[in-house]
Amino acid sequence: MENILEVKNVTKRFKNGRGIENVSFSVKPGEVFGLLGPNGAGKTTLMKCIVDLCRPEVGEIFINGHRVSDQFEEALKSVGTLISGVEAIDYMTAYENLLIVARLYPDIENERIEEVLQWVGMEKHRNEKLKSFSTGMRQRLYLAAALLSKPKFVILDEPTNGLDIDGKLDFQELISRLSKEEGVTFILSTHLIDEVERLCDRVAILSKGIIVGEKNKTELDENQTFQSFYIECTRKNKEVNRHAELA
Amino acid sequence: MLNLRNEWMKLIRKRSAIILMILSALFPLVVGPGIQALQNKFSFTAFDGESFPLVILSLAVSFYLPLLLALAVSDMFSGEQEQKTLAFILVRPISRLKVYSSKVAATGIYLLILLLIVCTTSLLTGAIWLENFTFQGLLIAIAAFLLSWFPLMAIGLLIIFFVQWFGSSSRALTFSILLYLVMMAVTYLFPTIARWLPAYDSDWYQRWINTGMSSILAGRALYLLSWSALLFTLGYYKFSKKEY
Repeated sequence: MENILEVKNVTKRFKNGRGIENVSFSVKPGEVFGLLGPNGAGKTTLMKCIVDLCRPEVGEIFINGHRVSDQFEEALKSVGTLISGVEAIDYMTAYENLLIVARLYPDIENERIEEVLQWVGMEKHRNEKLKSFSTGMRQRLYLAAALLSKPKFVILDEPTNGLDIDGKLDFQELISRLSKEEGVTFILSTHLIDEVERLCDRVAILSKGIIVGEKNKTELDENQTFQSFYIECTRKNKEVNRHAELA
Repeated sequence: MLNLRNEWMKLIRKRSAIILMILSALFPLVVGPGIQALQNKFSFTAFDGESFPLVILSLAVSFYLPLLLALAVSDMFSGEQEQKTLAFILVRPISRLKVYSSKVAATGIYLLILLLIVCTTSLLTGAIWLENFTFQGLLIAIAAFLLSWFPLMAIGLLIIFFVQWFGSSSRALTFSILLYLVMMAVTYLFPTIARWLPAYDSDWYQRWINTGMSSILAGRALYLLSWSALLFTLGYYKFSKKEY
């Protein structure tokens, strides 16, 4: 089956030396793919490249077979997005912000807006302006915006940032349900290992802009977890870097 | 255009936009009775009901409306970038050309509405408070206000192009005001150079009223149209290349 997302040899470097280097991976339909890495590893840069907010210097990105750089509308047609640092309009209400998003997709009825507000537990706050929202409430709204168009593929960049324990559990339950019952594909970038353990079928480890390891849940050895895989990959990478420095 | 409704909604939901619309409406309503009181007190007639809307238009086109335009545009482009809300739209399945075009269209509609507000209240003021208000004067005033949209929109497109170089709305606004002041100064000091700038056409409506359609005006209209097309394209180029 054709991959939903294909990232091929993507490089994006910033003046401060940060960025991503020759990143390649793909996401299969129905998968929950985790992109795990510490802060500053390049997760958000990669996610921004996927949705064309950042332009890679080298490499190509395809969503549903459409190249993002020149077939953007087609590529994003059935995609929901939540990108860290992207803000909704704070002088408008939660409902109005979702209405703005709804207008950019065909055939989204008011009932759907109400439904996603309910999913994220924001129905009581639908007529409140975002100004008064906490970080967690905003994050719930952004998740609602990502799920509004009944997407087949959802891009989530640090989706549980600012959520309390209940919020995190609700979020994990929602992702699991959508993945299992409706076959929605997810790519999830996070630095929280428990989130990856609980939700992801496959994980790529991103460290200092480079993918240092990738593994399917079924490929994990006995007693191995994504956490131990992460430790193993990052250790190996540190050793390689140390040898390279010495050489 | 789907996103035009969004851009318009974002624009008119801002408290500042509403306040400026109300101030635009109040401006002639306050100035009119004031002039009438002065004229009565000192027994002179500077403006009558017919000329009053054109005097207001002259002030609006030269100072007030370019300022409001700069405010709206700075907020719509640099402001949204600063607040990181522009990317909220850009991560949806809509091309940057559509987003950019809808922003330009919303600016054009906002400008037209401001002109119509000032037109209506200056006509009302002229009819109620000042003498010699005629039907012909009414038609001329409406035509003058509508004609003024064209050169103001060309200035708007120039501002749209430049504000995209700034990541903060206050800096973009300051630059826009300075840019406009420089253009106005050039218009008075170096009229030959000023012919290349859209600020040269702030009395555009006056030329139409005085001469009607002429080959010189048609040429100027074509020049403004080309200028607008060029700036629209340059503005889009900048918009499409931006990273967030």
